[in-house]
Amino acid sequence: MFYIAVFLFLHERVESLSEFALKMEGIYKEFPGVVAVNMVDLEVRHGEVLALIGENGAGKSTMIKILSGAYSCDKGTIYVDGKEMGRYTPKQAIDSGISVIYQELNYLNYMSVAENIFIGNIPLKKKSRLVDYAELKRRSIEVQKMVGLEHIDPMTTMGQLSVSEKQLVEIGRAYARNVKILVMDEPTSALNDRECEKLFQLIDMLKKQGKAIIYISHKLDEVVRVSDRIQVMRDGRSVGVKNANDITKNEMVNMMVGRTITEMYPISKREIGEPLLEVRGMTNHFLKDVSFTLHKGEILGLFGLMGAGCDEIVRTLFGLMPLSSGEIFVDGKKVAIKSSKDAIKNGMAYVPSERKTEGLILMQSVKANIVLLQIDKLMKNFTVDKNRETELALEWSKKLNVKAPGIDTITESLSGGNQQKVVLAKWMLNKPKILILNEPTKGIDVGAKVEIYKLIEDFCKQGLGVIMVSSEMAEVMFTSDRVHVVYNGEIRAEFTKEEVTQEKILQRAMGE
Amino acid sequence: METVQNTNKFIQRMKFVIKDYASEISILCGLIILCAILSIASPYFLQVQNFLNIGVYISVAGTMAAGLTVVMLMGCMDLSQYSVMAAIGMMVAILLNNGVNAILCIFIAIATGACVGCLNAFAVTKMNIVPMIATIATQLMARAVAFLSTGGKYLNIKNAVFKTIGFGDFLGVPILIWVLIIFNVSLAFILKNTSFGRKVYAVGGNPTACKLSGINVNKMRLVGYIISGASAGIASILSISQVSAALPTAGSGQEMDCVAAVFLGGLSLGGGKGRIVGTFIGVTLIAVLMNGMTLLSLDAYYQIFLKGFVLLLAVYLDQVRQARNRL
Repeated sequence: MFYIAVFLFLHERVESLSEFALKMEGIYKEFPGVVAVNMVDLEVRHGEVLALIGENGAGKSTMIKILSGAYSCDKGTIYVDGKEMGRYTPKQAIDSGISVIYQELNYLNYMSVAENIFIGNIPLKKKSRLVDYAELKRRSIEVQKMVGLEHIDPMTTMGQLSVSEKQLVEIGRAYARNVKILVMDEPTSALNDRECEKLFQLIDMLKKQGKAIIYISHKLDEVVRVSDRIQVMRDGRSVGVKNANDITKNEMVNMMVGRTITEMYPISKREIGEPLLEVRGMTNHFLKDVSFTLHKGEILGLFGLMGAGCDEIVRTLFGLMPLSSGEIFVDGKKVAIKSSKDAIKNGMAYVPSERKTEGLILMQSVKANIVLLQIDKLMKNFTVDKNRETELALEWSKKLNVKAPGIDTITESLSGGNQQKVVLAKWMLNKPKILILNEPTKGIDVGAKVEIYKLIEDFCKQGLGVIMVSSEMAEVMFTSDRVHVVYNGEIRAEFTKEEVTQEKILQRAMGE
Repeated sequence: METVQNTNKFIQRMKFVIKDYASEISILCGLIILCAILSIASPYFLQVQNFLNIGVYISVAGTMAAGLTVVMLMGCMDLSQYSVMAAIGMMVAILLNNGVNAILCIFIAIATGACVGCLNAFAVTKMNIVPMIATIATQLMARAVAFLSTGGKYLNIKNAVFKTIGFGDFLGVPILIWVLIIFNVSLAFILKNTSFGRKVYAVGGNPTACKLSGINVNKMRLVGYIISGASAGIASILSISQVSAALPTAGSGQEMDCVAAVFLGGLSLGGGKGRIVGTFIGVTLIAVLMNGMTLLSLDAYYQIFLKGFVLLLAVYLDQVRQARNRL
């Protein structure tokens, strides 16, 4: 009897010591209109950090969502510790030791640190089945020591913690669940240098304990610092796996982009005209004395880390947030902008970052979306002039090369790039002077990105001024004529295209 | 050759129309099946007089349901209509008894309904109260006003104009039904062909996108509530004319009839999709159902039970449709 038990025990040990903690084979996932992940393999060993890099829309997040059980893949197999998983739910993923820490942290703001760590697994008293707070605190302290939060009382509410502390609590939660495979999606996007270093030390320690870690980041320096191997994705495919020691940053960029910079960002020098928009001392509860000038034919890039205030600047400019002081001049004339309607009247157009929730009416057709702003002008004899409506929609969907079966196609079924072209068509049809783009290529495949850059350049050649907010460093650097770096609601630095480097932008964006 | 192409085009066009009108067609089929069953079950069902009865019942519910459709297309809700109808009915009766001109009374009724609509819109857009709760609150208040106006007593109406509205006919069709049809057809026309109508659908489809595109979403909702309030005003005239009296209890227990009808007709809770035609068929279906139960002399309490069941079914249908759209 005893021997059998020992045998079984050892057998299990051997099995769990299979070389790879995680193996994903031939993963394929299709969404309407786009193949998000195309036959990708991914392997992580025990005690190894694998960095997964690639541009936005390369398929990283889809891979992670498949791993976490949020999506199920159309084709492919997943092995955890050598065991085939089949189809599984997010709950089953957690139970088998897979934890994902997303960029947008997932926590209960009004509950304590201890409860956040042990959520779903709170210790109960044996007899009464009530919460055993003494035990909960004791265990929480144990976990907190692990992740370097021992100075915090386990009963502190989550909301009082800083972003980096919250993130550590999430890692603690994964740890408490006995995580085997830990996925971190852009964990440093809201951390400063010192906090980053602390996180890296924690990762090194988790590695020593034999955890497998998948690390997703845009920042190539930290990828080199933290990972053992690097896997690069592009357009839904894996384009290579390299040892971290054998690859230079330039090689990584080339693998990620897959084309030269001039192919990727086909934006040539243009004639920059006279000032078109002038913002002086724009201030509200979030922004502090923001001033800038936009010229005709110019692309002005705004770059900041998450929550830095880029979004707020353009939303205030477009009348979506109140302005408590400051002045806005369009064509040298002072204008009052209290709502989006005022902004539109003054020649502005705003392409929002959330295409599906803010940009389009998804359940309506390409035509209805394109003519939305013109609908009042299309009234003739008490009815909408349907011929003119169709004419306009056809003309502009053609001009912007919207690929759809027809103008009556529902926009929900289009790919991200074509949806964005519909949003652009809607605005360009209104003949704006100032085009504000908030993350114009978010979640769009590379081919469509290039097309959109070309369109932006065309618009500029026609004399438009473009303000572009982007969290993609390369996009900002290679498309903008000037870059403003935003930190903490202020513009901290201004670079011309010639001056700008990745290091300079990042330093300023971190507030240094 | 050309004819073949034309036929193909026609078939494609028909396919598109059938797909587009799928929810209306399916509910119409339901209505036809129900009528078939009832005509077998009761000898009285297929008689002209019975259809006129059904028509008269629909005139009140169908007018308000059309107004409600506009509100619900924008993702809002109005549960106050029946109580507002009762309150305005009482007010009109008091005015008539005090010798106010009948035509003026009709205008006052519609204007009062529109004002209550403004109040609802204020609660929803300015006070940011969930539409369902806001209009349940105004429903209670309006019902109280109806009772308070006479201390709970009903008032007789002996005005010639109102008698004509209630019992007269034009080209053999009761005036009540004419009002219903004209109101429904004009609203359907507005929704389909005007920029206002387009914006109603746009706001229902995505209010945020509309706001960013310079459409004043709150103003649109205000107009929607005015239309649904005014429709309650019109319904109050029809309702008191039908019975030659104003009752403070008018429409109590029927508050959800219109909502059920609108859901049956293919609207979704979020708005953005659906048509007046669908609502009209939905109202007719509920009316036929109630009528059938009366003909089969079923207990009134069963009717209430069945109404509850129909409401459940209608909202469930909406859920099924949405789930299918998501795939």
